[in-house]
Amino acid sequence: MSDEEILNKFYDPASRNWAFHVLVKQYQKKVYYHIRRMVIDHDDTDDLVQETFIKVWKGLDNFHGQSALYTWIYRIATNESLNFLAKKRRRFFLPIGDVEAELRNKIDHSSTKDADEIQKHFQKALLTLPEKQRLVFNMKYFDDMKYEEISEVLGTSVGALKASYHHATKKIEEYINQF
Amino acid sequence: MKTKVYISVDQFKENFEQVPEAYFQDLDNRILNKTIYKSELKERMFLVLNSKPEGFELMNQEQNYFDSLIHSIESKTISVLKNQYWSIEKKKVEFQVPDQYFDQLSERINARIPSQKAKGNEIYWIPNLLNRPIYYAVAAILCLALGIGYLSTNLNDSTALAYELESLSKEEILHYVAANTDKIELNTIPNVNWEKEVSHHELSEKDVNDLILTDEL
Repeated sequence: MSDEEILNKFYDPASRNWAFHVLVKQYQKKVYYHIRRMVIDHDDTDDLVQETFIKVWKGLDNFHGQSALYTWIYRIATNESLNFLAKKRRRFFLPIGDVEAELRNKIDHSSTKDADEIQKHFQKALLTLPEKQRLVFNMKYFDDMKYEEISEVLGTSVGALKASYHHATKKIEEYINQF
Repeated sequence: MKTKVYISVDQFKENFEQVPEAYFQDLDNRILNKTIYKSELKERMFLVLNSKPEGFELMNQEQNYFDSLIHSIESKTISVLKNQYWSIEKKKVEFQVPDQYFDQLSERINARIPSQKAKGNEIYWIPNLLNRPIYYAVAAILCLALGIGYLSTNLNDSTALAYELESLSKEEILHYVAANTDKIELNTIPNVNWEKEVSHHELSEKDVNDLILTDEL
């Protein structure tokens, strides 16, 4: 079902709940993995996924289609993830590196399917990136999003995103080659 | 009486023989995965590239040509390997998710969102109202109106009082003071003969001011 059809059904009070159910089904995995790659822990991700979709429900009446539904949902999920990480730092007065160290620790203790050393190392390499750069890398590398779409989500110019992705790739390669 | 427990070495053997289920099923792949890494692949690639075929020396070609050819193949192969590495990692990085998590997610989210029925009878409680800018504007106007009303009333009162006080004669003020003041207290005011002053109505302006303004009153 296309986004437009979902939205039309959502705006009709008779099919509102059903349309939202379809929307959640359609985007739940993308939203889940997008958040999970940022916060690593499943329980934290679960909370944030729910919060994201509740915000989607509340905001959908005011969504006028200035951007694609997909990028709009991604923007909400991105903000939720960044706010969560920022709150975590504020709550425990942690410097930036300490949160990443905690996330690295979570990677060491399970979190991935059939995790082997190289895979864990790759994930740790991702955690060495600054948050915004990690977001850019995740959306480009894992979600195969176009730079224009990422630009809509993050509100950053395409040129800056390309540079950011290039730097991210270089940093990851350097980290992996130390292995 | 304690009985001596005999521990057989075979018991340990049994323990060692216990292997997780399906451990051997994918063992070869896991070992390969851990062992063959980029550097190793690179090493093998160099071996292949550097091994010269039979009769190689007999070929009448410039050595530089082959060197550059090898270099070109090497860089291309590294690039291919790198791309392969990235695509392999991309597929592999899958986080563990509890069983049926995605099947139940939409139901859990639906349970948390406000229902359709409630929307018709929505009660506009304070936090909801605070989200609407129009209510801020109305509240500000109300505060401004109340403030202006209060100030104008108080200003009028104080002006009228000042005007009334100005219109009073000294005698009226004196009688008011005498009628509302304890005589004993008045007698404590130095340099004023009350019996005389009240009966003869000959108080100076200074005396009246003193009477009005003194703390003793």
